[in-house]
Amino acid sequence: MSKIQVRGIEIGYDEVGSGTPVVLLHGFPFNRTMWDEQFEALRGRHRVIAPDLRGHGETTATNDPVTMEEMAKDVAALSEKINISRAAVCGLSMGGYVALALYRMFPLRARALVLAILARVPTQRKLRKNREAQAGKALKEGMAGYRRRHVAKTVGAKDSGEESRCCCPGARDDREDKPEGAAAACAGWPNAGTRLHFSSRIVCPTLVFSVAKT
Amino acid sequence: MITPLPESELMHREIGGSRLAVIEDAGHVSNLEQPGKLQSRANQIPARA
Repeated sequence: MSKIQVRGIEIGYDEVGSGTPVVLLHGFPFNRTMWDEQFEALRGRHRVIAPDLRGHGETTATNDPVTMEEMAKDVAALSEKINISRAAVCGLSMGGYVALALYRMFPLRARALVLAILARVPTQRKLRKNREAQAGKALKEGMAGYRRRHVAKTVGAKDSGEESRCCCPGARDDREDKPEGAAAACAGWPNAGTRLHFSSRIVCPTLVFSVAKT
Repeated sequence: MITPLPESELMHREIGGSRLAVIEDAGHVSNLEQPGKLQSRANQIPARA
């Protein structure tokens, strides 16, 4: 794990390999360790970078609502500092909204986009209410317990072995995970709904990943 | 929130030239649940960037 100072915060990130850079942006309420399997799969062919987004994992938590744009600016600043001008940017769920925000603000930084599991954004009011509830749970239960319940609720595999494996990633750095960081991300979340008015303007190679239960 | 396939199909239609990959039997954290499937689908994407 490396740490670097950008925009007044410290970002924790993993970096390995060489070749075309790939930046992996984790979902909520996880951290960079959710990409462990992909990290291993890509390292032979790419320079792979997986940061903890602001308020998550080992990256500094700030108190104000943290928007997707704020996290995207952090990622752009990190890229700049470690001499990555363009990268394939892959984001899952919240990380996908961050990837979109990054593209919206700094389109030349994205060589390609992978948008994985971007859920439908409900109305602003519903979203705000939902996120307030999530923030409350994270603060009350701590990140390990909150994450376990979150995974149990959202997992799709019927195989219980897969299910139990799912609970492990993200827990590795649990001591470093900060419920207040998750709460700040929840508070900034309601701005994520702008993406649908924007996706028709994406011109870089893009892969949309989704899931289906059979 | 959990299986946003219609949403993904919409994004795929809106983003010109994009590709859509669907992993079956997976939920919201598909990269943790089905890493093998996800990687094999990702590997099929040509490096045209």
